[in-house]
Amino acid sequence: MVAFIRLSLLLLVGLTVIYGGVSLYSRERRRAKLKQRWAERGLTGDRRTFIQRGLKQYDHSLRRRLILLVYILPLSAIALVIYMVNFS
Amino acid sequence: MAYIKWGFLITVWSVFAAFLHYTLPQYDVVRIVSTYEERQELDNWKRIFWSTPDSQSQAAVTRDVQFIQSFQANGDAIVYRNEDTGWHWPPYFKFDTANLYTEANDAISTKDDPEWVVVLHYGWRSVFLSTFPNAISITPAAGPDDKPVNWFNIIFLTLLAALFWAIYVRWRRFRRNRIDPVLEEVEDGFYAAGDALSERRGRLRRWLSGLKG
Repeated sequence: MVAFIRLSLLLLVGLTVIYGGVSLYSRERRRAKLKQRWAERGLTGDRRTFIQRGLKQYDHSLRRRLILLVYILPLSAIALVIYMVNFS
Repeated sequence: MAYIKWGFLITVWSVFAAFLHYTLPQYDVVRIVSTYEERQELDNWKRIFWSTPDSQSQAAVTRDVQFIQSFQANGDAIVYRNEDTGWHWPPYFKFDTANLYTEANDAISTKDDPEWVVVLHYGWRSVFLSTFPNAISITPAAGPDDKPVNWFNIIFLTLLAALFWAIYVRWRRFRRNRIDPVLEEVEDGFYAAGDALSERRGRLRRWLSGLKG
């Protein structure tokens, strides 16, 4: 039981660090792309609003939700291993 | 300096490769001849080659471990230990040690009428350190020449290589864009300072020779 709790805590901390890192990285990349798009197209107007709107769109996108796979994939892999090793 | 760098890199990667070789699963096609239990003293550093028991017996220094004796098709003997890994490292999540022991006993066969089985295992057999690979599962084999494809290792190592490559490429890009320019600037600064210094020294020397002459 102690081992199970320790593994759960380690996974929770580790995966949360990865999730946070990937989230920040992905959002910053989107921001950089928006800046680039602004410069390439020679858009006029409020650059800040343009970038904020783009980021808001990103916040609702599928791509951001896909980062949840950081949690889902390892946990399903563990479930699969437990099944394969012990029950088949 | 280059020797130290390469020595360091080779050491780190060798240790990592050994770690993977110890931890990743491998298949053996064997004929099981017997099983036994033996009391093990696990009180020194070789403890790392044995599983961590469940919490009730964690303080115990000695405990009974199950073993599976078998022969490979080429005639070499190989002995496996049969231990739960539980929720500990390595992540095989093996809880069915007693069941596996039963399966192993069921698969016992003689030389005259061999029954070949595939034993999935991890770990090393070392006769000097008395370490044994841990058997994970036992499945029927097609025959002594059966060679199961280790799909897990193929996929895992490919993904691992891809991950390392992705990190390496990003690190190199980061260094080129962010660190190298700074270093170059510092270097340029040094050169500029050196040039200014030598020029001043030249002037000083000229002035001195002028005094002499």
